[in-house]
Amino acid sequence: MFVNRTIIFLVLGFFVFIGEVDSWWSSESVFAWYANYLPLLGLIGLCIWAQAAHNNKPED
Amino acid sequence: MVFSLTQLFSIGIIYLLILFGSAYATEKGWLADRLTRHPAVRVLSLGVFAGAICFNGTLGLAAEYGASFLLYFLGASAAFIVAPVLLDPLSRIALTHRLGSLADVFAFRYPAPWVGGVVSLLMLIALLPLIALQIQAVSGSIHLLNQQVSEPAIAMVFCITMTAFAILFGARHLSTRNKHQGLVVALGLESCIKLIAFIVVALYAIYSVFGGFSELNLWLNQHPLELTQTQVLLDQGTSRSLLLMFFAAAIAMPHVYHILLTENDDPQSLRSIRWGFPLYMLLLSLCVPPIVWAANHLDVGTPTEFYGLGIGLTTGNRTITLLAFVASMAAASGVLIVSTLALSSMTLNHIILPLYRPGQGRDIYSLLLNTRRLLIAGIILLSYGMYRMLAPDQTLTSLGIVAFVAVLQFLPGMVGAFYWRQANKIGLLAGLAAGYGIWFLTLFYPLLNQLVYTSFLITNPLVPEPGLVQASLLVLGENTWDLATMASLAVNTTAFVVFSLLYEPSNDERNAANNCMADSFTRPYQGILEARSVGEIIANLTVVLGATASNREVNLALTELRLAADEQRPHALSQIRNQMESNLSSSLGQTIAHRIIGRSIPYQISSDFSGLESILSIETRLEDYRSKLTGLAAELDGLRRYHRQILQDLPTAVCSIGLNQNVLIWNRAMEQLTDISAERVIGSSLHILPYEWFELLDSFAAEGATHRLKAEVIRQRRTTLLNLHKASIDSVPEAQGDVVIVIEDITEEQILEEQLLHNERLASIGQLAAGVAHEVGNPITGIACLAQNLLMETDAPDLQELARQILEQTARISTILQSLVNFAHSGKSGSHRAKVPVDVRQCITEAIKLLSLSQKHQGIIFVTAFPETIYVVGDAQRLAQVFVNILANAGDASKPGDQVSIECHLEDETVRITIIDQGHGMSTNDISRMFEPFFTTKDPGQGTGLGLAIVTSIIEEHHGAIQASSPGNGLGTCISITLPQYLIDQQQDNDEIRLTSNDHSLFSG
Repeated sequence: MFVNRTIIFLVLGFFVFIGEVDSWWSSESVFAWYANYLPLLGLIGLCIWAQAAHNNKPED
Repeated sequence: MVFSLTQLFSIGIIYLLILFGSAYATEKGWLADRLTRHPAVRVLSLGVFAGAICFNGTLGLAAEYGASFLLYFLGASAAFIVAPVLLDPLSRIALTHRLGSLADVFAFRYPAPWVGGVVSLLMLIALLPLIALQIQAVSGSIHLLNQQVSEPAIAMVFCITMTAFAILFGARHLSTRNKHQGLVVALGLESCIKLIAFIVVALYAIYSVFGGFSELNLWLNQHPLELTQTQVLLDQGTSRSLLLMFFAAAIAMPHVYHILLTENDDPQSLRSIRWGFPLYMLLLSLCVPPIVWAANHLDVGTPTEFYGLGIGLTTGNRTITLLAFVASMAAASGVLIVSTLALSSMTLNHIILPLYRPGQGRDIYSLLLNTRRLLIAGIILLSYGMYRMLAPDQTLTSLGIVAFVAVLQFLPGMVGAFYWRQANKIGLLAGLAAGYGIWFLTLFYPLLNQLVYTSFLITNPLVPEPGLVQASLLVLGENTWDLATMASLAVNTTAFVVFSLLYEPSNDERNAANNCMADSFTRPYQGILEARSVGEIIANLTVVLGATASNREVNLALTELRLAADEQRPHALSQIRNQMESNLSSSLGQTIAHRIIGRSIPYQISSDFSGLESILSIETRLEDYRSKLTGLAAELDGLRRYHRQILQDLPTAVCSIGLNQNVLIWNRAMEQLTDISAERVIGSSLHILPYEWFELLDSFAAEGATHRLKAEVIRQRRTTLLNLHKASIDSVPEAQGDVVIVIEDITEEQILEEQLLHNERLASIGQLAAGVAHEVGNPITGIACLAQNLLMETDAPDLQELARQILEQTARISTILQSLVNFAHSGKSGSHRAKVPVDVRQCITEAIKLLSLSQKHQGIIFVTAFPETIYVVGDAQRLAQVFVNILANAGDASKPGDQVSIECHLEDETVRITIIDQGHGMSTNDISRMFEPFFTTKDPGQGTGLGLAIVTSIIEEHHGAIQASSPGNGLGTCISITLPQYLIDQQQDNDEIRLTSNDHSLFSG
C-alpha cells in the first residue's frame, strides 16, 4: 500500500507529541493566540506545495 | 431591538430562494460551466460540514473550554489533509462503482443483504440529534430576536420550509446518475455567505467593539485570563477523542459523503479540496476568538452559543444581528437539507426496497421518487419530534457530540474495508453492535433519559430523584463523556477484529475485499457469464426490470463502455455486467443492484479459468494506474510495455490462443494479414473469425504438429499461401495450455519461385532447341543437295516435281531450324552487335516494304502515323525483325482490305509504338500466353510459335516492353511496344555506339 509517508509521520507525530504541542500553545506571548493557528496553516501550506509538485510531474 | 416574525421569515425565504435560484440557473445552463464547475465551487460546497456546531457550538466551546474549539476545525481538516489514508480509497471505490452513500460502500465491501439496512438504520439514529440541533439553533436564534412566538412553533415552520426546499433541491430526479450540480453551486454560495457573514461579525467585533487590533491587544493585556483561556485545551484524552471524532465525522457524515462523492463526477477535484477545505475551516476558526472576546467585553446576556447574535443585539446594530442570524440559519439549513437527502436515499435503498417489491408493470422510477420525498418529510418530522423532547438547557455542542460519537463507530469498519482483507460482515456487525451498545447506554440513553424524566417525572425508575437530572446531562468537561467515547470505540474495534478473525470471509467478500484494497490494481476475475450475448443479457434483465428499463440500462452501459450491441466477447460481457451493477446501484442502492444483477446475469458455476480474464483485467488496470506506479512496479510495467510493443511491431503475424479457444494476442501484422482488427477479436472466441481463418487456426492449434507449410487460405477469390509455426506456453502457470502461433505469408515468394522455374525451363528448352537445330541441320542440308542434283539431272516431269517438293520441304525445315537457332541465341549476352540510333519511322517503313512483297499480305492496308522523327538506340536489323514479325501476325489475322495502323508517339522519354489490326482478335487466355515460346493459334505447320517469343527477347534487350490487348469478337488486336528514346545530348559509350553519316542505313552489319 502506498501512502504518502510524510503524511503518516505527521499524523503519528501529532498524536504522540500533542502534549508538547499543548505546552507550546500555553507559552505566554502578546500574540500567542495566533500561534494556535500556525500548525494548521503549516499543514495547509504543505498540502499546497505537495499538490503543486504532483501537478508539475509530467504525465506519461 | 425586536425583529418581527414577518421580517425574519422573509429574510429566511429570500435567502433560500436565492440559493434555489442559483441551483435552478445552474441546471438550466444559464451560468457558465467555467463558473459552476470551478474547483473553488466544489471546495466551498463542502462547507456544508460547517453546520450549527460551527457557528454556534464553537462559540460555546471557545467561551467555556478555551482552545478546544480549534479541535473541531483541526479534526475536520485533518481528514482531508491525510486524504490518501481514507478519502482516496473511499473516493476510488465510490466513483468507480457509483456508490451513493456510506451504506452502499459497506454493502459493497461486506456483501450481505442486511449490511446496508443496518448501517442505514444506525446512521439514521445517529443523525437525529444532529438534525435536531440544527432545528434548535435556528429556532433558538429566532426566539432570541422575537420572543413573541414559542420556539416549537418557529421550529415547525422551519421544518416545513426545509422539507419543501430539500425536495426541490435534491429529489426532483431519482438516480444519482443525474448529478445535482445546482445543489453543489447552491451549497457553495451558502458557504460563501456563511464565511462572509462570520468574518463581518468578527471584524465588527474587532473594529467596532474594541476599536481595532491595537485596542484588542490592549484589552487582552488588561484581561490576561481571556488570553489564557484561548490557550487552554481540555485534557489530552478528551482532546484526542474530540479530534478523532471530528476527523471521522468529516469522512463518514452522510451530508459530507453526499457532496464529496455522490454529487461529484470529477475525481480530480479532490486535489484542490485537499487543501482548500482546511483553508476554509481555518478562515472560519479565525473569527471565533474575536467574537467571544467582544461578547465577554460587552457582557451580552445571550447563551454562549448565540454570542454572534448577542453582540448585534447588545450594540443595537440591526445589520450585524441579521448577518449573524443569516450565518446561523445558512449553516443549519445546509446540514439539514443535505443530510436529509442522504438519509432518505440510504433508507429507501437499504430498508424500504428490500422489504417492498413493486409489482410488474408499475413505473418503478416514479414510485421510488415519491417514496423518497415521503422519506425526506418523515426524517425531518422525526428530527422535529426529537427536538421537541430535548431538555430546554441542552447545549448544541452536547447534541452534536452525541451524533459525532455515533458516526465515529463506523471508523473501524471503514479502515478495515480498505486495509484488511480478513475483515468481514460478521466482524462489522459485532463491532457496530458493541460500539453502538455502549454509545446508546452512555450517551444516547442519558439524552433520552432526560426526555423520559421530563415526561414522566415521578415514575421514571432510572432517575428516582430530580436532583440527579443534572448528572444525566452531558457535560463536556467531565471524563464520563471521553471515557464513553473511547470505550465504545475500543470495544467496537476489538469486537470487529476478533469476530473477523473467527469467521472466514465468503468468496463474495474476498472479491469485494480485493476490489477495495487501497493498493489493489487488479480486478478479481469471477468467471464467464452464462449469457453469451447482449441480447441474452437484456432478455434476462427484462424479467426483473421490465423491457423498457432493461433496454435503457444495457444501452447506457454499452455507451459508457463504447461497446457494440452485437458484442459477444466474454470479457466485454463481464464489463457490461459490472457497469450495469454500478449504474443501478446509484438509483436502487448497492444491495438491490447487486441482488438484481446477481440473479439476472449470473456467472457460470464451473467456468474453466484459463487465465484469460485475469491477464486482460490486469493489463487494463495497469494501463489505468500507470501514472500511479512507482519504484520497482513502474520499472516492471515499463518492461512489460516494451516487450508488448516488440510483439506488436513484429513484421511477422503472431497470435495467441488460450485453452478456451479465446484469442489472447493479435498483433499488428496479424491484423494486416487477416483484415481483422485486434480490438474486435482479442478476448473473443475463435468462432467469431471468418470461417477460413477459424478453420485454419483451430485445426492447427489442435493438431500435434508444430509446423504447417504452404497452407492455403482462399479469401476474396485470392489464394494466400502461409507457413504456420506453433509453440505452447507451459512455463507460465496462468497460461497453461495456451499456444502462440506465428504465421508467414509466402504467397509472393511462391509466385517468384514459380516464375524462376518457368524461366529456367525456357532456358533449357532454348539450349535444347539450339542443339537439335545444329544436329538436324546437317542432314537436311545433305537432303537438299541431293534433291537439287536430282532436279538438275532428270528431265522427267514427275521426278522434277518430286525434287521441287523435297527442296520446298527442306527449305521449310531450314526456316524452322533458323528460328530455333535465333531463339536460342537471342537471350545470350555474348551477342555484341552495334547499338546505333535507329529512326523508328524508317525501320517500320522498311518492314512494311518487306511484307508488301509477300503475296499473302498484298491486300492489307498499312497506315502509319508518325508526327515527327523519333530515334531509339538499338540494333536496326533486330528491330526490323520485331516489326516484321508483329506486322506479319497482324496481316495473318486480317482479311484483304483490312487496315493495320501503326502509330508512334513520345511519352516523356519513352517511345510508344502501337500496332492495331482489324483481325479476328484474341481471347484473354491467348493474350496471356501469346508471348510464350511455341505457343501459336495457327494451324499446325503454319507457325512455329517462336516469333513473338523472339520479339519479346529483342525488345527486352533494348530495355523496352511489349503488351498486347484485344477486346476479342472480331475487334482486332493491339500490340504496344515501348522503347527508351534516343536523346540528342545523351552520353554514350564509344565502344557500343558507332555513329557516322555513312552508317545511317538500317540494314548494315
